[in-house]
Amino acid sequence: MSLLNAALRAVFDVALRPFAALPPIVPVAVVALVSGIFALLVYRWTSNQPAIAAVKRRLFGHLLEVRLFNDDLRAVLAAQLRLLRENLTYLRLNLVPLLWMIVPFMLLIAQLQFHYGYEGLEVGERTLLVVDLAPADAGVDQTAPRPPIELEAPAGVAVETAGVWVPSLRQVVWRLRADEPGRHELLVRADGGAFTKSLFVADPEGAAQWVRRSPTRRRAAILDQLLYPAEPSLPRGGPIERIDVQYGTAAISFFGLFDVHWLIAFLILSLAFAFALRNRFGVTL
Amino acid sequence: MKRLVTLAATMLLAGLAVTCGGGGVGPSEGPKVIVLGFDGLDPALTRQLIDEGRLPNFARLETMGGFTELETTIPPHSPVAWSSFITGMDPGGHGIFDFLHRDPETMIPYPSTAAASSGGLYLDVGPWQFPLTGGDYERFRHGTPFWDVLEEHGVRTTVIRMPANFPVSGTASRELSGMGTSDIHGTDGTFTFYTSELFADRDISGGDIVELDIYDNVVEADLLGPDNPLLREPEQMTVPFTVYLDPETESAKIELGDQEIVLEVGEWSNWLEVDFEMMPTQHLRGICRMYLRALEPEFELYVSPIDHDPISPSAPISTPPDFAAELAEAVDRFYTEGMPEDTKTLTEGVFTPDEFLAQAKIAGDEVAEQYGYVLDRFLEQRGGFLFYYFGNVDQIGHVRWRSRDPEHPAYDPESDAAHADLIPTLYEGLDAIVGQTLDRLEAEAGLGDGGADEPLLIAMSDHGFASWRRAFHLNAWLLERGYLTARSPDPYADEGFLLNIDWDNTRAYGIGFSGLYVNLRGRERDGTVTAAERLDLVRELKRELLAVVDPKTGEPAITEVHLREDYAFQEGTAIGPDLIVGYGKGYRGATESASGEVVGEVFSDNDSAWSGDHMMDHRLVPGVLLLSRPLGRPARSIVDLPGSILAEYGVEGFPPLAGGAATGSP
Repeated sequence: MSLLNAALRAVFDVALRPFAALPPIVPVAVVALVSGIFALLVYRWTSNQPAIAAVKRRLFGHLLEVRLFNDDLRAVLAAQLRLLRENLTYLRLNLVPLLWMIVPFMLLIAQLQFHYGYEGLEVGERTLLVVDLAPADAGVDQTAPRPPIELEAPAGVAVETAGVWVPSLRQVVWRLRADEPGRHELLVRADGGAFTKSLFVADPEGAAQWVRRSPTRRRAAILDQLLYPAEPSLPRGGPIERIDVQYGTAAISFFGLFDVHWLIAFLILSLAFAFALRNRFGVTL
Repeated sequence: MKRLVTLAATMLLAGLAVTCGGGGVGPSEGPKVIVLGFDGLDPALTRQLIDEGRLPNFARLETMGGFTELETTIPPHSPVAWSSFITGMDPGGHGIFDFLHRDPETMIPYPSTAAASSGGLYLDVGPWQFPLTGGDYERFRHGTPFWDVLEEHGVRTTVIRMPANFPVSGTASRELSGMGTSDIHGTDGTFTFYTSELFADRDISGGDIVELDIYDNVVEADLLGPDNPLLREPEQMTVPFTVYLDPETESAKIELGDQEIVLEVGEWSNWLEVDFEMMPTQHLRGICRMYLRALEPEFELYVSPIDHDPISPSAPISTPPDFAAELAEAVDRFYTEGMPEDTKTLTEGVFTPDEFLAQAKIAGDEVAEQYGYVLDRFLEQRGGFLFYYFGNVDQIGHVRWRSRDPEHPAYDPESDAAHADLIPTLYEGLDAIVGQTLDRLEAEAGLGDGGADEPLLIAMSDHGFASWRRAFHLNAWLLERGYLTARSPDPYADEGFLLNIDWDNTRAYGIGFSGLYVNLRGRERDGTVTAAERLDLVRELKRELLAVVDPKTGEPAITEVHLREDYAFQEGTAIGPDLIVGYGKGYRGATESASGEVVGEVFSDNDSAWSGDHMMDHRLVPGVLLLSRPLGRPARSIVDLPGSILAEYGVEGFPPLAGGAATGSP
């Protein structure tokens, strides 16, 4: 999984780099177009197209039944029951292509989320670095002494406060200030180990605004690796459970009409493209 | 496919155009006029600092168009004077006479400029009540704002933080409400101070002190909201927050909703969002700042008044309604309450002077930073009118004026001497604002070109400032002279708000800082004085008040008494006082009397931090008028100034007479 994530990070970083200076709706639209075509191809190859065409014809026929025999209550009820049955059949026929698509789309969405889902910090903006330590063997101890943990920040990032130790949460929290744009690597030293965490500060004058940023780095559990692939996982058995940096949630402009989360824009556009291109690709949806 | 590609390309281009382009600003008629409203800027101190070379940009203005005193209103209170500036009428016309008025039918005092009015009809469902007619805020000022007339004549107006303009008039092109705007509780600003000190729990003027417990260095408490308006039985809304203390590093982590912050002792937070749930689908959104004062020996955390969130305000604070959000997104969220400098923290002893000044600086910096954005937008347009208000000097002046007056009874050589130059430094900050504006107008709008539509910059104040050394308890004086009877002579039984008055045996009473009312039969609920007796009583009171001498100093305490009949305008006098008391140099009405207390000493030393004031004889505290060029129609007083501004656009006849309208065209 780690290797796959590393490969996907590299692919998406390279593929989305040309769009980094453009409004994010542009790459989202391009990816939606490619995704729509990909979904059509997968659909055509993995679905039972004759069966889907047949069930759609039957659905249409039953709709006509309802319209034509609307003075016959028994006929209308029977037609509606058949509509329900055919709908379930239609859903069953869609299940196979859906299963084929779910994994690639999950990987795609996870990658895009870290490009377009978070605001980069602005110069002068403050954020918290939150380090959650691994649970103690003895359970929660409200009076546990401060663990030996240190934070080293590179030039361009100021550490404004000492680390606040919260025993009940087994958490150490620092407040940081972004002083210079760029991708910075913070270094947390704990229990003899050194662990990095990336911090992205947007450059208002720079071209590349929309690049990968990662709000969290976590241990190598399977689900976490799937959902948070933007940075390599923290080692299993290490002293740190997760390291978080607070970024704001981003909203992108939908062609200047309204602001929306990128995922909503992506779903609308990929569905629109798929429907618009279905005949050209000879696909019955 | 071709059509699809064309559609997609069109959408992309349209999106890019809107995403990358700026919003347009429509045309406007006439010259550019900017009015900088500096509340409480004193002409004598301004003169002194200009002469000392500390206000070079004020000096530039004086050279360009002149510097004169601007006569203020009777009484010279901010909401009164600014209402006169708005309407071109004296208080007899606009009906704002003080900070407080009273309802003669109930004898209950209320804020003079605006108040929340509850919805009339409700649909009751179980414990809930759903308003069928919307609750709203009511503005009590009469008259036509001068910007209404400008807009009618095609002049685009921007009016930022105009006092006594809450709720906003809705008639300016862009508008943000100012003094008089309430916090989310509907008050002028109620802070909360959380402390672990035993038995500290109490309500104080302008705030609540909340005692709480600490367990294992964790504090769990609630932010206090208003009562839930959707519940039939009143229930205060709260939002929980948690503070994790780390005494070793003298810092704490605070969790409020999904927000987390770290503060060291002595630090202020940025704005935090507060979300009060009225019911699962209905929320009341506010903002607050926190200040971590101490962890040891006692935990102390100050939470500012919870203001309306400018991103989604629950009160009419701007025109258009999303303008407040535009300002917040352009700069940052900001104090939306009318007087953001939390002076009560100082007068109630919660903050030290330095802590208060840090808070006031945050409020002042917000206003100054927003001015840059507003000025940018204003200069983008052709012509137009801009008013922008600065209240920092007034509010800080009130509580730090004694640092300039070693003879003040509360002068503390240690702390006050250190702040002796504080107020002049604030004046220098305003001078920088003037300089910024002059430079921009010269560079971008042709100031000094002598062209037909040469822009005009006006720097003005509503009143000046003076030291307040001695307090005069008007109600105690009335009591002593037999005009008023108290129900109880015990000062501890006197709750204020006129509750300790025996109305059946009272002929006159005071409420507000200058207002003296006759207990008039047919007007007051329990009136005792007939209409025929009224004028004689008023004249008798005036004569006696003007003869009052302070036994300690031998000086007259009152140098001016104004009758309501003396106002040029009479349309709004029905709610006003029968007499307006103007105090002599160094004197002001006692706070106790202003809030309707009755029992106490007639004269007392003012030992409060609130040491500077202007609520006295209006001739002692004129305002300031500085111009970048002489006015076509000179203004002697603040009442004249709006007419002069309209005359710059060729509009005459303001304020309009009853049934009339201002005439002319730009």
